[in-house]
Amino acid sequence: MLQLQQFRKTYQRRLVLHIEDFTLPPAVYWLRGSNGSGKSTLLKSLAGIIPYQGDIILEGRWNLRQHAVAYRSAVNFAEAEPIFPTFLTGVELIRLFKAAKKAPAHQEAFYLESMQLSAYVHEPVHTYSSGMLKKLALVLAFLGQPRCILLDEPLTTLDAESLPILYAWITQQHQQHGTLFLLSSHQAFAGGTLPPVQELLVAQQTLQHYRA
Amino acid sequence: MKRPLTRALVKILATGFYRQHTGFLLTLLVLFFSSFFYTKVLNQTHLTPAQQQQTALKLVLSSVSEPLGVFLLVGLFWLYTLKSRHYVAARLQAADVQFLRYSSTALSWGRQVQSWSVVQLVIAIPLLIVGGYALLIGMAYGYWLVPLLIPVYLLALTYWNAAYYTHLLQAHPLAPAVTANPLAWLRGWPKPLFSLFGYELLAYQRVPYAVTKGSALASMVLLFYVFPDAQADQRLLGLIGLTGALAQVVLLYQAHAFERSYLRFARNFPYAGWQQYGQEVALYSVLLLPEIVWLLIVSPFREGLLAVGLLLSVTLFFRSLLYRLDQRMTPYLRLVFALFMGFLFLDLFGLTHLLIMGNAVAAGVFFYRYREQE
Repeated sequence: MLQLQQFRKTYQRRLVLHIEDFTLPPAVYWLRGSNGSGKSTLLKSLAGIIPYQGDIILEGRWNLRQHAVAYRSAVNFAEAEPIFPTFLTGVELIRLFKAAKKAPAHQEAFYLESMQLSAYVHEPVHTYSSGMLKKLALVLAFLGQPRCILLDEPLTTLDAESLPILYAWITQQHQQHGTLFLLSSHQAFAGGTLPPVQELLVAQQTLQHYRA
Repeated sequence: MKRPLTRALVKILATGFYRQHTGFLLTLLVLFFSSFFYTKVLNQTHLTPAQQQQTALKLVLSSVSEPLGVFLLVGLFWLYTLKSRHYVAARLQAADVQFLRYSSTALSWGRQVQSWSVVQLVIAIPLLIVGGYALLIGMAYGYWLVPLLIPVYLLALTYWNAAYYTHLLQAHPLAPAVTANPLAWLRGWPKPLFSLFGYELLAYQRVPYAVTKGSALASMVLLFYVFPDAQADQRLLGLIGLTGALAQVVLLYQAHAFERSYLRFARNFPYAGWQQYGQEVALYSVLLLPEIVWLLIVSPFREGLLAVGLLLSVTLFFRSLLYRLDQRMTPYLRLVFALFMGFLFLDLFGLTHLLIMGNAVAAGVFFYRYREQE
């Protein structure tokens, strides 16, 4: 469960988001909203990457401000356009993330195999295409024992064959561990099977349940 | 400047050039230009005011009258132009400016060269000031040939670069990405989070690192041997440590830029504040290793250790200031120079221990307080 209380985000005094009180029980959420509405800003704030005002609390006990280490251990994030030091190989990045998130040994093997990343994971990331980099960022977001996974535009640059694989990862993670997913996307999650998806809308500088 | 292409190019390339070379330009200003404009010479009471003025303008007059002076001025203009040429050529390979290849190239060759000429002129403003000054002073003192050739030479250099930039965009499609791993020889080495900027230096920024280490060690060695009677004096070693820390500013700025761009993902890592600070200490202990080793070799152990402590703590504090100031280079340099002078004063009063503790604690506070707020 993820709670936002008195959440405010401003850029140079311009209010971007104001969420009074919002609770997200464990589920798979599709975060919708037009360009510039604040979806990425919300996800980055929830990931603890950018500053904000107010409180973000995970499972009623880990406040991002007061329990930053415990919170960040349990919340993983994949950026819309991932950027990593270009000289690092995929394997070296995986080692970094595994060490930070205290991931079990060989946890990555399943993800690399199913996304067919094993062939080039030993190469430096500056040789990767944008799609390959996206796949690697998605693998990194599943490492550890996350209670919440935030994926910003996970479908962008992914090929059609990879979509059902990503959906299967999400389904498995959610069903086995009750992990909360927050996925921002401009396109519907077609081409595979996901658990029931609840739709949220970021509009008018706030977050609300989406009603068609 | 009214043309959209010119405006965009100036914003992207000229501004970027000044931002990246602020340290270099400030050094040039302090070491060369200030003397070039007016050299104050003491004890000239035996000279008339006119003679005093001519002496003060000796350097600029030499640059338009003496063969060696002319050669140095022409050489300086050429080197600066070459430096800007390398910067722009490298910048045009970056992903964020590739749109120029399929937008600006639709204009005629002449229009593109015009726009690039404006960009080059903006980049060369320091040269225009120096050249204009040499022209005016030279003509005022009756030298005509070289002063009148200065604008011709500057315009030729400007056209040379403008045509080259236009050619780069038009003739060459983006070169294929280099696929070789620049760190292939370090493939098996562990790469913990704290060490990544070190590897970045090894992979892509070897020259800035070598220049920083060279200038730091040169200034430290110079200070050490200028005062042979005080080589075991804690105050001298403290001064050397402070100088070593000051020499790192460009590297610190690059470390900050690297962290902001490439290590954004690490902000989601569950590391406590003390662990993050520990990672900074580990990084700068490694980066400062040449200076640390030299200090421990040449000085008595206890004093050497104090100098190392001062070098490391001041470097960490200078680094932590960037979390507050971000990428504003000019205020950063001003603040660092002002702090250096203040620390120097305290060191001369024998307050080295206090400086070490104060800087280490202040670095930790700044690091903890402002890193999260960026």
